[in-house]
Amino acid sequence: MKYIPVIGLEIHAEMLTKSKVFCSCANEFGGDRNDRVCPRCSGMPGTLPVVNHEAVTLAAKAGIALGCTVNNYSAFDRKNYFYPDLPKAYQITQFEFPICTNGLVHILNRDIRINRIHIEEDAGKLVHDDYEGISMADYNRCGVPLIEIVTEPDFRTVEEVQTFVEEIALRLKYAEVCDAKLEQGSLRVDVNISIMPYDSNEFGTRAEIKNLNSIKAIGRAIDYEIERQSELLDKGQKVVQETRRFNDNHGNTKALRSKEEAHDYRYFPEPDIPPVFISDEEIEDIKKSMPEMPQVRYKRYTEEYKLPEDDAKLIITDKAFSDFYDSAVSLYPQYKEISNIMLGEVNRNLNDTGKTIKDISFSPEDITKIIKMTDEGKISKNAAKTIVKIMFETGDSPEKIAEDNNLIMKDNSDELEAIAQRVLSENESTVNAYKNGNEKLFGFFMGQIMSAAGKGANPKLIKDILTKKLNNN
Amino acid sequence: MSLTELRKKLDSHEISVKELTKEYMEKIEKKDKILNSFITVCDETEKEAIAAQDIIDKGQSKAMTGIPISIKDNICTEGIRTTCASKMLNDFVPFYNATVTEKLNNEKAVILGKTNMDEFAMGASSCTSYFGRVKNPYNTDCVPGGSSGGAAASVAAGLCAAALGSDTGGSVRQPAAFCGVTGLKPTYGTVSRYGLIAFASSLDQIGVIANSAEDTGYVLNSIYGYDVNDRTTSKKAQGNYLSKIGQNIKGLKIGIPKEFFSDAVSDDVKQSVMSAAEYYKSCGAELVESSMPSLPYAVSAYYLISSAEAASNLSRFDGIKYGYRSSEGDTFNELISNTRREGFGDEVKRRILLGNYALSSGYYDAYYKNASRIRKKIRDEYAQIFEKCDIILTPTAPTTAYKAGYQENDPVKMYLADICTVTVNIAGLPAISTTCGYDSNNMPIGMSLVGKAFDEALIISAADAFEKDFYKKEAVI
Amino acid sequence: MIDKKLTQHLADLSKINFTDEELEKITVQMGDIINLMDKVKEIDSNNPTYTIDAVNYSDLRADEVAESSPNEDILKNSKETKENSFVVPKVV
Repeated sequence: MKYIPVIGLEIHAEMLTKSKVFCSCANEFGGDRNDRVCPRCSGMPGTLPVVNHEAVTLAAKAGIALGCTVNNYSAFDRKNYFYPDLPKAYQITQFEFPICTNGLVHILNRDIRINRIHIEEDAGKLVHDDYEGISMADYNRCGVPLIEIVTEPDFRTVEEVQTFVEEIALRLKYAEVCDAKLEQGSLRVDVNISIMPYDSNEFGTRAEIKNLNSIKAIGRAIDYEIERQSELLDKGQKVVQETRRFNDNHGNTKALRSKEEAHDYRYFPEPDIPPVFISDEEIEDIKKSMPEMPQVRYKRYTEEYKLPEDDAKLIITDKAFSDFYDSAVSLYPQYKEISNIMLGEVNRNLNDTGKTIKDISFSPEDITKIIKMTDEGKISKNAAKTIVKIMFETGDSPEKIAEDNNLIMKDNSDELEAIAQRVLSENESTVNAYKNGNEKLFGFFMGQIMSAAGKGANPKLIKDILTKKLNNN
Repeated sequence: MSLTELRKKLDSHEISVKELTKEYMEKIEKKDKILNSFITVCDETEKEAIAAQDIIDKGQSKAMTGIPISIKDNICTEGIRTTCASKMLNDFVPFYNATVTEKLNNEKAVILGKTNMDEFAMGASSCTSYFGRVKNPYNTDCVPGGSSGGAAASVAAGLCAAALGSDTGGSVRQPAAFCGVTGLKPTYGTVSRYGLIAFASSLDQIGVIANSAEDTGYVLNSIYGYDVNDRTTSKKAQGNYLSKIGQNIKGLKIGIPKEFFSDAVSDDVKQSVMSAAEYYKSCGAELVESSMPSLPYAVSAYYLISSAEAASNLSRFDGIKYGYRSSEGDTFNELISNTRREGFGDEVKRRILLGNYALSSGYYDAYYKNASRIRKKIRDEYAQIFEKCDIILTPTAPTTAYKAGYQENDPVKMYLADICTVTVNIAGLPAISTTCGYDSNNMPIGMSLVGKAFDEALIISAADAFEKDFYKKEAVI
Repeated sequence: MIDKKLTQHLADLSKINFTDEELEKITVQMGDIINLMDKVKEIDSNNPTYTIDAVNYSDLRADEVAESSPNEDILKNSKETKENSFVVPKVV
C-alpha cells in the first residue's frame, strides 16, 4: 500500500550569547572538561538561576524571524528527569508559557506552521570509557542557552523538510541568533514522523528520530523511516511510539533506550525564576534592531531588481555577501551587472582563495567603480574581470589597477576618425556595397579599423564613429 | 542585653570580642553536649574574633561586627561543612557562601557554628536529624520544635547572641515558640535565598531567631536586600526594621481570625494568646474579628506544594557531584537509587514520594494545581483581612513543646500541627513569634503577629511592645 | 487509592530503592498522607491558580561573562572523579 508521511520537526538551536543562560560562565566551545562551570551550572546545593537578558532577546528575534508572536508574558518550568549529564536532575525550560508562539514559514508553495519557540538550557556531555566501564560527565555545555522550535506536522516530503531546515538555518544566521551548523551541533533537528494510508485523514503513531547532523542525513533517515513504517503496516504490525537514533554509517534508525522508563517529566512552574514581562515597545525595539530577513531580500531582488531567481537565491545564501551586494547597488543601481560580477568574478576568487566576503579588502564601492568604468566604455568586460582578480591580490583601487595594467581603453577620437576615414577611402567599392544594403560589411570595416588602431582601442567609440561616417556620406 | 546595647559595649571597648566569643564557646562546650543544638562548631572563632576586634579598634565597626551568631546548617558557609542534617551531605564543604553568610562576613560577625535541624528542614521537631535530636532547653525530654530547632535552642540556652534559621512552613517561628525566644520570618523576597539549600523554593525564607523582637529586627537590618543572585528577592524590602520600635500601640487594628482558634489548638495556648490580645486592647489597640475560611485546606495545600518543589530540589542529591555515594550499583540508576535510599531519612523520602505523586501525570491537576488554587485563595483572604486591620494575631503552634518520640512517627499528626504557621508562607507574608505565656509545665507558649508584605517594622514594634511588659522565664539549661 | 504498585512507581520516579518490607510500610503511610491531601480536591476548579509576579525584561541579568570556578573546587566534594570529570557507571 502507498502511504503519506506526516512529519513535524523539533529544532534545537544554540544561541550566540556571551554567557550561559542562567549563570555568567562563558558560552564557548572547547577547553578542558568542567572548566567553564560554576556552582550554578554544576547544580551545587543552594544556588539559583538568573536569566540572561540576551537569551530572551535572541529567542524573541528567532520568533520574529519565523513569523511568530512574541508573547508579553513568558514563564519557566522544570522538566524533571535523572541523567548524568543533567546536574540538577531537572532542565529549566518553558512549558506552559513559551516566549514565542504561532509562527508561519513559507517554503516551496507551502505554509509550515510553527507551534512554539521556547528557551531552555542545554545539558552537559558524557564521555564514555569502555575499558573501565565508566562515563565521565563534563558540564561545560550545561546552561548553554537553547531555543527549541517546534513545528506543526505540516511536512509531507523530504524536500520540504530539507528546504525548511535550510531556510530556518539561514534566518537564524541573519538574525544572529545562532550560527546554525548542523554538523557541529549548534543546530539539532529531531524529526517526528508517522505515515497514514492515502485515503486517510488520521495520523499514525509517530517515531522521533534523533542524531541527524546533516541535511543529507535528514533525507536518508526520513526515507528509511517511511520504508520501515510502511513495511510494518503492510505486515499488519503496529508502529511503536519511541525515540530512534539515526546511524549515518548504516543509513538506518534504531530504537533508543529512553532516558526515563516512565517518561513522566513532572513539569511544574520554576519557583526560582519569576516570569518575564516584555512590553510591546520592547518587542518593537528588538524588531527594529534586526536586519532585513533573507526571504524579504529575495523578494526584493526578484521583484524589484528583476534578478533571476537563481541569482537571488545565491546572493542571500550568505548575509555578508547580500549586505555587500546591497551596499553596492545602493551606490550604483545596476542590479544585474553588479549581481553578475559578484556571482561571477567575486565568487570565483572567493572560492579560489578560500576567503569569505568578510575577509576581502575592497569595498562595495570598488565594485561599483568597476561597473561604472565598463559602462562608460573606459574598460572592457574582460578587463573588469582582471581588475577583480588583482583587487583580491593587492587590495589596490580599481582605478590604480586599470592604469598600472594598461587596461584603460584609449579615448583618441581624432586619431580614430582619421583611421576610419582612411579605411573607408581605401575601400570605396565595399562602402558602396554596404550602402546598397549589404549591412554585414559593417563588421569588415570594424575589423579593419580595430587592427589599424591597435591594442587599447575602444570598440564602442570606433563603432560610433563608423556608424556616423557610413550614414553621413 | 539587647544587640543594640551589646554593639555599644563592643564599640566602647567595655567588652572585647575575644572574651565575648570565648564565653559563648565555653557555654557551647558545656551545654551543647546535652542540647545537641550544633552540628558543627567552628574551630576558627578566635581568629574571627581577633579580626572583628581589629575592625572595632579602627572605629570601622558595622552592626554585626564581633557579634557571635549561629547559622542553620542548610545555609552555605564557604570552607565550613554544610550538612542539612543529612547523611547525604555529611561531608559537604561548600566552596561558595550564601548571600547572608557573605553579608555577615563582610560585617565581621563571628560565626560560632552551624546549628542542628530536621533533615533538609523537613519537620517540626528537630528529631529527624542524622546527627541526633536536639533537646529543648526548658525540658530536655521535649523537642525544641523545628526545623530550626538547633537555632532556637542555641539562642534559648544562651549559646549565641542570635541565630539565622529558615522558615518554609513555620520552621523559624514554631521552634522559637517552643524554646521561649523570638523568631522572625520576613516577607518572601526580603532575604536572599542564594546559598540556602532549597527545600521549597517558593516558600523558603531565611529568618532570625533571637532573644527579642528588637534583636530579630537588628539582625534583619544586616541581611535583607535585593540580590542579583536571587531574582525572587524584592526591591520593596527597604530595611529600617527598628524604625517603628516604641511607636504607640494605640489605634493599632489587630485582626483575630477565628479559624486559628479551633479545637485543634490546646486551651492553654488559646487562653494565653487571647490574654495577649487583651493586653494590646488595654494599650489602646482595636481587636478586629476576622476570618480565613480556607484555613482548613491550608495544611494539605502547603504539603503538596512544598513536597512537589522539594522532590525536584532534592533530585540533585545523587552521590555523583557531592555528598554520600553508595558503594552499591552497577548502573547509573542503581547507583543513585541506592545512594538516595541510604542517604535520605524516612521523612525526606516520604516528602519526595508525596511531591512526585502531586506532580506525576494523571495527578497533577487534582493535587498540585488545586493546591495552587488554594494558595491563591489564601493570599486573597489575607488581603481581605488586611483591608480592615494592620496586623493579625494567631497562635504560633497548637500546643507547647511535646515529649520527643510522641508524634514524630505519625506524619499526618505532625503535618496537622503546622496549621498555625503555613498560611504565612503560602501568602509570602512576614510574621514574628514571641513568647506570650507558659503552660502548667512551664513550657513556653508562642503567639504570632502577621504583617502586611514588607511591613516587618510594624510587627517587630508590636511584638517589642508586648515583650517589654512580659516577664520571661529562663530556660533550665 | 494508593497501593504498592503506585508506591513502587513513585519510588522509581524518585530514584529511591526500597525493600519489599519498607515498601509495604511506606504504602500505608502514604495512604494516610494522601487522605489528608485529598482535602484540596474540594476546591472549585474555577478558582484561579497562584502565579509568581513577573519581572520586567529590562531587569534581567546583562549578558556579561564572569570567571568560572576552579576545576578543583567543582570536583572537590565528589567521591569519584577522573580526567577533570565526574564519574558514573557507563550509561549506554
